[in-house]
Amino acid sequence: MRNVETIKNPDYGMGLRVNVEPTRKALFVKSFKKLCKNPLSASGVVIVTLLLILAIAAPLIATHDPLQQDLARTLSAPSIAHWFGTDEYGRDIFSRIVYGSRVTLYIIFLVTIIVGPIGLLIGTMSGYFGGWIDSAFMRVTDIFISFPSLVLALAFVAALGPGLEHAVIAIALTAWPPVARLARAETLTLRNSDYVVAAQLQGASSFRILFHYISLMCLPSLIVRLTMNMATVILTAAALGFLGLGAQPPLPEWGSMISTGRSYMLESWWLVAFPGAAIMLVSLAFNLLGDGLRDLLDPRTE
Amino acid sequence: MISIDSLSFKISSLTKSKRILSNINLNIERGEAFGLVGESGSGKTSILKCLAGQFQGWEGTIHVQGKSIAKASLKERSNTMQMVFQDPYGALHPRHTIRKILNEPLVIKGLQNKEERIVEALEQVGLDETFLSRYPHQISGGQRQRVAIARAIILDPDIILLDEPTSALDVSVQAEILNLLANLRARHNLTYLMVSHDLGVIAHLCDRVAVMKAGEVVEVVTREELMEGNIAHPYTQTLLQHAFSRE
Repeated sequence: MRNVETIKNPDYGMGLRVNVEPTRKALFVKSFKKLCKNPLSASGVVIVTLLLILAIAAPLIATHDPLQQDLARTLSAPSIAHWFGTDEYGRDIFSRIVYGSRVTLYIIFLVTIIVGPIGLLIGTMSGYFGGWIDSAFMRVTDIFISFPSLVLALAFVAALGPGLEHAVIAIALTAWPPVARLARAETLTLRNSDYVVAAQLQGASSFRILFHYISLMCLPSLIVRLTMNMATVILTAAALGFLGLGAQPPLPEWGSMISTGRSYMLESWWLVAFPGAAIMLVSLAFNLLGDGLRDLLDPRTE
Repeated sequence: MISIDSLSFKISSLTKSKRILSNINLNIERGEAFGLVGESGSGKTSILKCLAGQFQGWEGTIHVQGKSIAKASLKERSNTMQMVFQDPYGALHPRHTIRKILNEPLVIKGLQNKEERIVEALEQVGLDETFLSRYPHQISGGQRQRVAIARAIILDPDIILLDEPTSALDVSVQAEILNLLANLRARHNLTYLMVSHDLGVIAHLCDRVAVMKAGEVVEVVTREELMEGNIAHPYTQTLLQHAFSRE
């Protein structure tokens, strides 16, 4: 009956069964090493890791309570007791920056988990179905893109009222269109590929093809895009905070720290310099990380 | 099994329309291996795409097992027809393991005993179960084509559409795949509709051949007639001469 000779897996012949888990883990380790080889992306990884540690271990790292006012020591310059000095209410700026990393990460995290799925869903659907669905989705996307994102975010916050969650919603609403565009472009190149046709011939539903076939291929470039986006999100969040529309006092948010420090900027430079440096460093780090990830994940750049 | 009557297809854009197929009439019996041969752009693959539902808006009638497929959805067609593609690198999803690739059609159809069916399909194409955890980029082109064939037969179809299944493979692997296809046909009583530009491949596998030129069927000949050179149409003779001169 069996007149087809079976091709033996060479590893099997030697008695070494190959499991997928170690290879996947090895692949991950290998990619991570490759990412760290480039000094720029390695510095991105280091700074983002530091930011994560800072946010998680904030109570251990902070030297003071970020909300504790000390009116006897207002606007004191950086010293051993207060590494980055104190603000106009005598709060320790270092501790406020450490706790502020939590706010920043919270915004980034929420925006990313809102924007990623929405952009992916809208982009893949309009790319895959085409026709009037495509036209409708893309016109809406065009409208959102044609507004300057900060102005749009301002309008949303003005409508919803100031607050951290509202800032997150406003930023998310302005951040999804480029993601959707990207996912659509990827989908257009994939929708006539042989494996998608094969799945259609097997009777797979459109949503099965979108979730199991197309989304999977869009993910690498989407992750890169979202990482690069995080820098923009940080800046927009800081700008909203600066304008008093994001996180509300006394919550330590880097943008609002700069905003309140502005009045004392000429005499007490540390009020503005340290939060500003934190914003710059972190958004730079996310950009570098995104660049590194693109080299790693996007085959077209090779 | 498959009867195609006066099938025509044209692609029209705003400015011009191009006729891809005109007045194709073919009859393919159950268990037969039928070849479509012709040069690039002669419309061989277009016939497969009409059958597989990739092209809409063709004229004429196509009956598969006595039922018109004009109204049949892809889901209904999937029970009787499967397809093997030309490019083994593009036919398998690069981020699915072989297990996932073979599991998908079973999940879609809601079939039971998935693991046994997967292993059985793999065995039928001459691969063992150690391949299951591999990704397509970890196996060779010939092995990929075997996986693609396993995916086509795992739903137990009656008809397999073969779109130049061997042209992307090197010669020794071509022979293996052709023998595998011949064995599978004998075992499962499959009907093949195979597209190729290679008369040698067609003659090896197919009982009858339709020679196509510029969207029309020039001549339908049997393998014996082809081997004996007993052919009427000058175009077929030219093709045959080229095939011989290359060897």
